[in-house]
Amino acid sequence: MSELPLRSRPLIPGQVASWLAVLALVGAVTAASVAAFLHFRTGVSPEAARRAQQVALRAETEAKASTLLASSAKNDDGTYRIPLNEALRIAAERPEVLGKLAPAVAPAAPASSAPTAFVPADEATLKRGQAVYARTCIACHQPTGMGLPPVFPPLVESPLVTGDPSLSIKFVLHGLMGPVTVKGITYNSMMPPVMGVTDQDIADVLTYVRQSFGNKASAVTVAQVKAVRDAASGRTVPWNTAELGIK
Amino acid sequence: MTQEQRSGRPDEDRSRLSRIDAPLRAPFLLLFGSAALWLMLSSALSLLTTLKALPAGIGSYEWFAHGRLEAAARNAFVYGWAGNALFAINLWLLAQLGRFEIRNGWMASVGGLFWNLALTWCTGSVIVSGPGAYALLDFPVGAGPVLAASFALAGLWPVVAYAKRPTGHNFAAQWFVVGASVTFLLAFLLAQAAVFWAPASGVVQAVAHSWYVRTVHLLWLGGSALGLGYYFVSKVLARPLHAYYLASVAFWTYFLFAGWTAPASLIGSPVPLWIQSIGVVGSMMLLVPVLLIGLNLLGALSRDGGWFRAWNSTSLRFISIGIVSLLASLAIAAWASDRSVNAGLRFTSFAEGQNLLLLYAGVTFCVFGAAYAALPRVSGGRWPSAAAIHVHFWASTLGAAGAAFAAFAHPSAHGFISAVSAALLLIGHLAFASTAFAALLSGVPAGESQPAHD
Repeated sequence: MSELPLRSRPLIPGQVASWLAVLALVGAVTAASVAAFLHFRTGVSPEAARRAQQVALRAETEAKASTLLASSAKNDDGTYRIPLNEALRIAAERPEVLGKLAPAVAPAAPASSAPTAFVPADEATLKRGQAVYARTCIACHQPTGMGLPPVFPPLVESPLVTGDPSLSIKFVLHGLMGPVTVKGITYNSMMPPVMGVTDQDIADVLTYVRQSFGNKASAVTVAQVKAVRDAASGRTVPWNTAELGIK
Repeated sequence: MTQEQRSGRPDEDRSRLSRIDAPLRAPFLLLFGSAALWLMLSSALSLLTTLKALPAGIGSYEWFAHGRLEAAARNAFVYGWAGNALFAINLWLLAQLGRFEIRNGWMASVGGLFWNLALTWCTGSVIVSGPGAYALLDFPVGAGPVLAASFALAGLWPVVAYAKRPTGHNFAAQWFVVGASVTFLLAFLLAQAAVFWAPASGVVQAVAHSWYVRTVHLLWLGGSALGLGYYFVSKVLARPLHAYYLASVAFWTYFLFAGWTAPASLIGSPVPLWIQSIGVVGSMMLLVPVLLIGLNLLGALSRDGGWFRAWNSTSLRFISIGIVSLLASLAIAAWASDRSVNAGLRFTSFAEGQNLLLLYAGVTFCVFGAAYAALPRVSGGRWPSAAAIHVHFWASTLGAAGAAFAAFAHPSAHGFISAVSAALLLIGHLAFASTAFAALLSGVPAGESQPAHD
């Protein structure tokens, strides 16, 4: 511990060097621990990500809706829609426009949902359809078409089955997920897309289903199946009940 | 028998002691002086928190809301009083044990200065804008780095004193103090990271916070107090500790298990059960070092009239009470970590009583005892009044006992007994702080005079 002569004193005194060494040691251990913590720290959970996505979607929808509500737009028939408060202002300033108002025309109902008379399909078609049913649908929807509540919904007395055939075509082509209520029971299983069936097979089996088990609905044509298949040609995921507006 | 033999220390060694103590004088004055001021502030704030209704004049200000006063008192006590006092006492102890002559004491002084400035800022902000969600971390975010840097400057010198000791001596007291000093900085930085800088999910924040609080209580404050216990019991009794060879096991198991007890404070809260179970296991395992430390220290005190001699030594009287309280609080913590027991204690003031036993009757009593020995040696002065020491001892002991009774046994009398106890503590601390200032300032710089008596 003898004092060194002034000129040979080190730049950093020995005690300070030790202090720095202790500090460096503690700092290194801390840095390693913080690095480990950051590495193993639970990131954003999938649940939180899903929620954030929903919040963003909702905000986007609301923004679109308020834009639509707040701005003028051209209708298909060449007339214009304007926001209500603007319309009231104009009506107050120029009462004569009220006389020119025309009642809004309801859009024409889509042709497919128009009721049609029941025409039974020919025997051969129903036979082919039954064969396809026995090959593909029967495992879940059962030979009776009653399904297995509460996992597989019945095909009887279901507007989804007997209504617009494009819906059933979509289910067969791409599958269906999401909650669906049939005869008071809510099913939340997933229907997988049916593989290895031609447009003809789909038309036959849907015709069979729509005209069996007590159902009396129109036959399904190959052209209808082809139209749906072409319209959704890029689709790789099942249809979602929410997306289709099914309850 | 010559003078040399009777004093037990050759003259050469005596001059060496003063060369060790003299450069400690300036940092000691600053650090211990601030510690005494923080102690008085904290006791005054605690007294205010125990009053059920504040005087009409100040009761209507939100600055004096119970939560703010309590948080400010807690910060002033832990960081202001215990922190500053342990900077000074730990450095003195390890310089003493290793015959270390500090040449850069100004660094400790600068660290202490910034520590106190940052702490004043923190306490002010707690009072003015309210405490944060995390006890003992309720600072403005910017104060964290300042406190860490100040601690590095002021609090790491005991480690340097150990690393650069010219003697090869290796005592249990040194291990505890070195471990305590290193652990605080580590825990503080990690807690800042896990709670504020890169917070993870809420559960991780709560677990990290409980770990930090327990580490500060048990390792920094408790570890330093145990170091003081290991030194003073053997020093004052002038005999080796009982079963001293077990001290290394006690040290390692204490530092290994103390941090794992943290989740025991989260029993019954919505953190995963397995995390709570770790806390239960840690609390039980901590009984191993508690038994071994008890064997070392209380074993030595129990032989040949050791308790009697402890009672007659100012330092050891405080320190033996401190060690008993500290070990008792750890044993009680192990008992209270049992799930069925904990279910009955969860929403009572039991945890408050545990903290009081650990931090006040345990750590603070050890620091009091060490201060009675260290202050005269460093400053060259003397304690001016034996009566003041008696007032301090009895007021602090009765105050601590009353506060512990209020917390543990008699919650319905909480208000009145707590207030009386807090008033007693304030009286004791006024007696201690005023005489400590006299002892610090009365002495001529050490080196010019003989060191004071032991």
